[in-house]
Amino acid sequence: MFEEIKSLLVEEMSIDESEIKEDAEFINDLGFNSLEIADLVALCEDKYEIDLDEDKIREITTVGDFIKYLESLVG
Amino acid sequence: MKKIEKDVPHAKTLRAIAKYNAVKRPEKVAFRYLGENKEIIELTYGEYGEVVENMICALKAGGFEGKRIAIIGETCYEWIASYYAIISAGAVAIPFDKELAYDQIRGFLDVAEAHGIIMSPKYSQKYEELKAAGVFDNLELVVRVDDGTEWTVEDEKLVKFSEFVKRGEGLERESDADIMRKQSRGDMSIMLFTSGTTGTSKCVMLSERNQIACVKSAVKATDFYEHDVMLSVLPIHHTYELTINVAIQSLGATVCINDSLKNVVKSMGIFKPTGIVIVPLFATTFQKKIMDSVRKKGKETQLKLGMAASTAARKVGFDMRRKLFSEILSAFGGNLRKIICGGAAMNPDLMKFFENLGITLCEGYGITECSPLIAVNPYYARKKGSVGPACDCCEARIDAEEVDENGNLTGEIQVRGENVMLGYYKNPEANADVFTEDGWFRTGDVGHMDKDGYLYITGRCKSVIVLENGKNVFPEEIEEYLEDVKEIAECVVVGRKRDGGEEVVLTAVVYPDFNAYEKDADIADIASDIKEKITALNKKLPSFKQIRNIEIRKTEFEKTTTRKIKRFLVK
Repeated sequence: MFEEIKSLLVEEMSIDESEIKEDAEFINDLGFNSLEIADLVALCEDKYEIDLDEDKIREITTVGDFIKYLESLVG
Repeated sequence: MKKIEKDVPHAKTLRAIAKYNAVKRPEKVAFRYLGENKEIIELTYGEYGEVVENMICALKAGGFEGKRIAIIGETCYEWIASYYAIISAGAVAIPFDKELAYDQIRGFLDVAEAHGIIMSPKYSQKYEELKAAGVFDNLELVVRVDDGTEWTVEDEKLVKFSEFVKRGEGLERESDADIMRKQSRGDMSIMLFTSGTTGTSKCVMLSERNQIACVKSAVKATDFYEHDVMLSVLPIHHTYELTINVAIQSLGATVCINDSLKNVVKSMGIFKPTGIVIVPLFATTFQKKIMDSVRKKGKETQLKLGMAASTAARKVGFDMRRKLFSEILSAFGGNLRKIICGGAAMNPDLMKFFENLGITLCEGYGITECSPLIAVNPYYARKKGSVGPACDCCEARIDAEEVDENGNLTGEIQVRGENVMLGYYKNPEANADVFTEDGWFRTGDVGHMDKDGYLYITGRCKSVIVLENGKNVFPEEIEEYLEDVKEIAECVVVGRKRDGGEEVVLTAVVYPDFNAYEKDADIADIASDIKEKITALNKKLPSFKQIRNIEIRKTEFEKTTTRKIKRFLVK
């Protein structure tokens, strides 16, 4: 899953590959704003055909936590 | 672009707007939105007018005239119809931010002495939690906008929106003269809570007259017309979004509703809007997306050359932008021609960027206390870096304090006119602070005015932090939350610009309680401990209020004689 999300971040959101680590924070380390987070959510929802909960997303700060949440839904 | 004179003389009240459209263009689509299965649903002005009229009757028959009713949730036509109907029935509408915590909602309902609440479909799913949190305890009416799903009703206060509207069917409708009489008195019709806790928030009182004054000004200052299709993407409880929505309806244009932040670009593809009203965060993100996509395709040089060629061609009367950049424009639905941007400071270069692509971006300036419109950089005579001259509904002046390095008289922007609020609810102290002795409203924004009356905003003299997404953060509120972290002795929250750009990052400047640590504790360890505590606190806050950056200082803050921190010294 990490590799999949990494390539999505690199290809779709133009994030520098070397910056993408499990403990990287979307806002502080990767420079995301709230709209870009919303974009990432939309991309993942389409890719995995799932619905992500907005309240849950609000609590997530790192790439690792985001992946854990995705894994809990994708199974 | 040439100035086109337009007016909406029928728009004397909200009800008059709905009624006029229902008669003049009953078949015209007022709202377009997506249903449960992503199918497009349309509501005509005829249908919308009926909903509003019936709801007015239902509210009056239910004895709600003069009472106060909150509206909360995602944008839907029922939210907007409720707003029209509550105000038109002589009641008071209280638009709430759907991101408020339950105890804040309960607190604000109590402060406003509210009698009822109306909730959008998605927000209604929180009904049980809201009930358990005691939100409905002091209310007599709870309306849930139904989305077709079944739910059992075991609360006598609770009613479905469709059923509530039905209560007004066949009842005698109030005459226009009665409604006009009420509106001309300028009574309070809208209560808006500035963000903050119940203790720190202020409640702005607006009249319908305030709102209508802004609507008429918005119509004149923007290039929207009856044939336009607008995509609504900002939260509907903001006066900025609401006012533009009403202005669009006063013209008889169509409003499309974006259902979620994550679907903005998809919605543009589906609804193909001609216009959009946004905050700077959207404009910068759109620009970034466009440039990313151009870069990926290796078409940077092509874009640069195209822009230069089209600029040259325009000088001799040929406009090729829409054709040249059709691929880029197609990502926004293909029809987008106008953007209104406001709510926070915008990078002035964005105007040129979108102009080069064939999209007119006009920056506006407003504040909730002015319902909210103060100025718009007019489509027919824009000036770079300006928010334009004061709108028709008001006058602006600069309370000049100093001359800046360019020779401009700079000071606080002050406003008076039809758009200025009635005052803060039950808050004489705040009212005394915010109005000058000669009756002008102090905006708290600092700037200057050129010889043509165009305003340029250069800073703020109030502590409120305005984020790029238009959200206001009151540092005092965040500092109140930080009091719970016992390792922090003193703290000031400020907004720092990231890397010289326009993005504002919420920063806590912290003086730790060194007694809470070992005597020889390393400052880096203290910093990391405090960061951990603040990260935990952040999880309880809506994302826009979360602290993104922490700065540790080793000395106490300088204080006044009354032991208050001199926050203006914290740079």
